[in-house]
Amino acid sequence: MKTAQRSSAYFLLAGTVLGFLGCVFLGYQTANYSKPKNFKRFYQRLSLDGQFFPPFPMQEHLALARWSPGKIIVLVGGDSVMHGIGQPEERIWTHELQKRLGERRYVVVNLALRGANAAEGGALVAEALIKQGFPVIYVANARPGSPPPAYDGAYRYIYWDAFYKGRLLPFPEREADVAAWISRLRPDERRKVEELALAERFDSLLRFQSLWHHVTYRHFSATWNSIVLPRWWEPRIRFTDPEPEPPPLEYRYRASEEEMMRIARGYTEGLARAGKDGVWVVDRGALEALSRAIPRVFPAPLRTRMLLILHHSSPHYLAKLSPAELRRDATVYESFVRQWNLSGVRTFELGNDFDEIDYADRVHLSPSGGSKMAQRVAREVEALAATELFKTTEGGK
Amino acid sequence: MKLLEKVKSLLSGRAASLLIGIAIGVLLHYMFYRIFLPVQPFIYVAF
Repeated sequence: MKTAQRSSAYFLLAGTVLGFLGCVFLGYQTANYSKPKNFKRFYQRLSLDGQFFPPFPMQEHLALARWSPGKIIVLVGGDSVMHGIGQPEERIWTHELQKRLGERRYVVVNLALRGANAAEGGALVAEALIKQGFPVIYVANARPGSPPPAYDGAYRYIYWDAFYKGRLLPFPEREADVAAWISRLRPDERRKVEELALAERFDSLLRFQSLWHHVTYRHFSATWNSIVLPRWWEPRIRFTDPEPEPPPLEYRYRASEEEMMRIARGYTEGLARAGKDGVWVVDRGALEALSRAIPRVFPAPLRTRMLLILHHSSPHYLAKLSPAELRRDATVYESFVRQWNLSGVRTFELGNDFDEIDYADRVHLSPSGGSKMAQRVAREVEALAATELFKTTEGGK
Repeated sequence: MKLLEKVKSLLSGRAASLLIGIAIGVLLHYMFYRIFLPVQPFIYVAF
């Protein structure tokens, strides 16, 4: 009897090891191919709102899904403006960008994430692809000011995910900054970051993110979430992108005017001071901080393959700024665009010559605004693709 | 006959142990995924 019990215990233990290692094996397998079907963008139910944290390997597969030798990957990162909030899936601006660039030489992939900064998500995927020798042009957006780093935002998990899987370019400046940043954090914040880093370290060995995100997407969801109620258990593949058309113009700008104006002013307020004769002088410290930050946030090979858009608020709000505030906006944007360009990143302003109808709200573009953005970005992509950097893509990687 | 039944019960006991073990292993792997999912809703982190 005792022998039988002992033998059952051994079988139980063997089964546990087998089950766990089987999952690790499947995790490695799914990490090699798992990605959302007919991907257009990471809509709400495929993003952090819906407890879905697209693993780094999944984002890399998406970037490469339609690529073939000789093509340039135009990888879109940045925030909800680039993601295409305000544009329904079938009228998303990246679709228009692909049409303008054509299928022969370009593959456009939208990996922008709501609330992300230019250094998060898409930038890290672009970095990983550059490291592997793929021809990539990275397009993102920002506003005047210094770019926040990839390890300090809502999507910081992507940095640690890519870092521990060895996907990133060698970048000692960033690693030194990460160490210094962690040492400056409050103990509770530091504990959170260390836990996250530990999780991603484990995941680089055990691949639980790849496997269970694949299961959540394809088979069933085991994470309760208010965004996917009442069908929270259903696989995410069954949910569609819910982004609606923007409302008619007369219903479009209904948010608190005072709050929206505060945000619109905040883009350049504090970055310049009024000089003599109404001339605005841009804060030298802010420009110096920007020139110091750029080479510490974006590695050199990415900077030369990058297009940055400094976007404006809707003319609906800009029209309500005073003439002096408008002059300040113009001076600050011009100075920041110049500084980004001096630091090796092709940068341009967008939105200051758009119409009210081109925006869906204070900051997001409507389908007509998206179309204008696609037109401008296509021109810049083609100019960058014509440089020496991309000469070798014809016929090869 | 008795021997056959004994072997059967032994084998089914072992198979059950193995299956339960596999289920525990799968659950452990899933636990890693769940434990490291952030508790704080995204909206409070990003905005």
